This record gives sequence, structure tokens and C-alpha cells, in this order.
Amino acid sequence: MSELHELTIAQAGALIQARRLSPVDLVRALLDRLDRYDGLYRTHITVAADQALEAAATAEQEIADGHSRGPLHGIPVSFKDNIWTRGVRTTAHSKTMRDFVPEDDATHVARLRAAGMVLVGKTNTTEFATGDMVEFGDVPHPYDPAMFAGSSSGGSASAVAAGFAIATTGTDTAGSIRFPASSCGIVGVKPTYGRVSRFGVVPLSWTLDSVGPMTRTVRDAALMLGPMAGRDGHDPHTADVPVPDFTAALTDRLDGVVLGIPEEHYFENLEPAVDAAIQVALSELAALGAAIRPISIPMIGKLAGIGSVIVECEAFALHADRLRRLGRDYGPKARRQIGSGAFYSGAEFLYALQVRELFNRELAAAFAGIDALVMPTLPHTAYSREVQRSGPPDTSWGTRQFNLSGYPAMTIPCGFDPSGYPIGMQIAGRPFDEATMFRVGHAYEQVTPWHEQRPTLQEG
Amino acid sequence: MSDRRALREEADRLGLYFEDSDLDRIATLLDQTRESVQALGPQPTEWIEPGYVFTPTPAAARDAEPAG
Repeated sequence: MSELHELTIAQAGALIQARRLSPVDLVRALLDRLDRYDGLYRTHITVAADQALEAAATAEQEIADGHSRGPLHGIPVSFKDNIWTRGVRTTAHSKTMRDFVPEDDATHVARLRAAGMVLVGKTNTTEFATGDMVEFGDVPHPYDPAMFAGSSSGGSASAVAAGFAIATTGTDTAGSIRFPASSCGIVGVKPTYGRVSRFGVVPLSWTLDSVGPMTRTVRDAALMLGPMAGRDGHDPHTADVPVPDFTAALTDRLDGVVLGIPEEHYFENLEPAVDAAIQVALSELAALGAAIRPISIPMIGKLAGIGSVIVECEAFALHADRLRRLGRDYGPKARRQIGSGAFYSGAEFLYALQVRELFNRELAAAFAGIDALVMPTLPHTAYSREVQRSGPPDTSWGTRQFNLSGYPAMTIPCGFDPSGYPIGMQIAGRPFDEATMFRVGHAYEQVTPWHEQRPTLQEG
Repeated sequence: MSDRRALREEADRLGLYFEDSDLDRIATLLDQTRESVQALGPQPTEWIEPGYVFTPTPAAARDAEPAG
């Protein structure tokens, strides 16, 4: 058996169901590891140790009594700290919410608890998923603490990579799941807009925010997304569409699958190691039986401006009252990013929505001949924490396209650069067809070793 | 270029707290964003229906045929 902190959901779940692994022992292993290392890595803002041990003991007893709730029963999970957790502090990494303890769970938290998952803690993020990391510190990279893990779900990504969590959830408005997941070498999923309720998530942009799983394997992500998904009366944007068993689509071959490769944007100015890793990955996908088809989507690299207008206007609309009352207590970056939305004209906002619609039509036309798109998640690998402070690159370079369109997209690890930092490959599917996206990623994982790599941690 | 004085007047009118350094940075953000939008070229000539609210339609997903 692997070390307990290295298990996947599927592995741990099978052992727990067979009563060969105690959920209490699994939680205790993670708590010990957090205690030993997380002073340096700062993946968690809050650890709910007593609650976790109690919930794990309850899960163990339920399974012993023959009342299994399924493959997630007894599996530990941590949630990004902009996600409400009943009775557990939820700060959104903001001084203005430093002592906020929700009375309710976010809908997806409640659903995962109902499936038997055990809440261990709350993971570090940027302030309101857009600002700095001042109140609780930033998130060093699990492969090199001088580097930055990524944002805004950086704590969630690093915790999974470093073995502080078996799985986490994050939020993604322009790439906040996929950027840190790619940087840390794990799987990060942004589901279709409307697939997972945002009720109980501190909002940033109501037409762009998504919630998704962050895991070590595609199978684990498929296992988690099912219980998280579905219509929720508390979030009117959730869609009333069937939620399939996402694991049922997982196969070892890709015969009959057509993968589109964008001709524009995604293969321009890549770091050489990223370019090389993606080219090898495309060869491997072809060897698995997929047809690879170049496809033109001319607007796909031209959306940074309209993306910013939409995010900042919606964020300001959501935060305006709080900014008036508490603006002095916002960190400078959050105050500036969110506050800039006050200065766009109505015409600028509506123009951005028009361009968004034109892009969506272009993307839908492109998908008429393909089952999924494959491309790099980022043009680069991890960069330093100093660069993050002084002026980071455009980390939504390859991801905002699928928030603006609402299409599902995920990143999976596909290699390492010469310095030992992970490289991510992004796979995007049709609306509400996460199953095909998972199928492509899972088949790739079966013939590659990248998802099995783990960092060697330093003690703080 | 964004006018810092106009930004300050608008912020005061809205009752928003900003330090001068915030408005300097916001001016830069606005300029960068507008430059990026301008780079898209001419505004769309096609009429997009007003009242547009984004949601990917379940019908579109249901009706889509696998390409393979």
C-alpha cells in the first residue's frame, strides 16, 4: 500500500469499503503531515482537526454497520476558504471576513458531506479570489518553496500535490482552478457553467464563477463531480439536466474521438518545454486512437480585455456596498481590481457581452466537428513568489475562454520542465459533456506517469 | 489615458475609499483593458439580441451529435 497521504480517492475508497483502512487513520495521517509541513507551505488557513476526527469516526462506524454511502464515504476533503462551511471559519482571505463562521454549508459542501466526505480544513486563496495574500501569507510551490503555487485556488492545488489533502474543491472565474492545478501538477476541473451550484461561494462574477474538484487523477475528479452536480434552487443559474455517472465513460482507448487543436493563440510564444510536452502528449493521444484535427477559432486569443471588463463590472456590482463600508480594510490589490469596475461605462460592459456572444458562436461552430479541444493550460511553468508580488504574467491566458463560453475544461499533468516544475494540458468539452473530457484525460493517464509524481517537501 | 482627477471625482461621488496609489493603478488597469478591447478591431456590426444572459443551453448539449 502507498503511504496514506499518497492515496487517491479511488484507492482509499476501496480500502475503506473493504474495511482495510480506517478513515480515522487516514485523517490522522493528513493532520500529522499538516502539522509537520504546513507552517512552510501555508496551504490551509483553518484546520478543523477535532471535527474531522469525529466525522471520520462516524463514517467508520456507519460502514461497519453496513450503511455505506458510496465511494466517497470516509474520504477527507478540504475546501477553498471562499466556500461556506457550516461551523468552520470562512475568511476568503480577507481581513473583512476574518472571523466569519457560516451557519450553512455551500450546496456542494453539503452534497459532498452527504456522500460521506470528511471536512478537514479550509485552503488558502487570494483575497476574494482576486487580491493579494497578506492576512494569512502566500502559498509557496510544493516543488520549490521559492516559487509560487498559483492562484487563486493555490492552497487547494498545493495541498493535493503535497499530500495534505486527498482532494479539494476550488473556484474558477478565469482559471483559478486550472492555473494552480497546472502549476502544481494535479487535475483541476472547471465544470460547465450551471453544472455545480455556487450557493455558499463568496462570489466574484456571477456569469463566470464555477466550482470544481481538484484531485490527483481524472477518475477521482469524476467520482467527486457527480455528487457535487445538479440543479439547486439556491442558485438559479444551475441547469436542470441529468447528472451522469461520470466514471462510466472512462475507457483506456480513444477510438472514434475527434480532438481539435486550436490553430490560433495556444501554440504561440510557449516555453520550449511546454511546447515539447504538449506535442508529445498529442502524439500519445493519437496513439490511443484519437483523431487530431487542427481547427481555427480566430477570436480565442483576443478576449483578455472583454474578460476583464465583465469580471470587474460584476465584481464591483457585488462588492459595491461592502467597498463603501469596508474599503479601508480591503487589501490594495482586491480594492483596485474590484474597484476598477466602478469606472467602466454601461456601453463598455454591454459591448463586452456582445463580443462574448460572438465568441460563443464561433466556439460552438468549431465544436460542430470535434468532441473536445486540447491545448496547453499555461504557456509557462511555475514562476517565483517575487514575480507574483511585483507583477505576474497573464495567468488566464489559456483558461478565460472557457469561463466566458461556459464550456467545461480541465487541466491534467503532462510533463515537467528541465527545472522540475509540472506542465499542464487543458482539455475542453461540449456543454454538459464533462464525460468526454474525462474520458480523454483518463485514457492519457493510463499510458503516462505524470499524475504519479510527488514533490519532496521541506520542513518549515 | 484615464484622467486621475476624473477618477477621484467619480470615486468620491460613489462614496468609495481609494488611496491615490489605488487610482494610479486603476488608471493603468483601465488603459490596458481598453487597449485590449480596441485591439479587437471594429465593433460588431451584427445585432446581438438585447437582454442577453449567458447560459449554455441544455438543448444544445442534448442535440449535439458526437463528431466521431
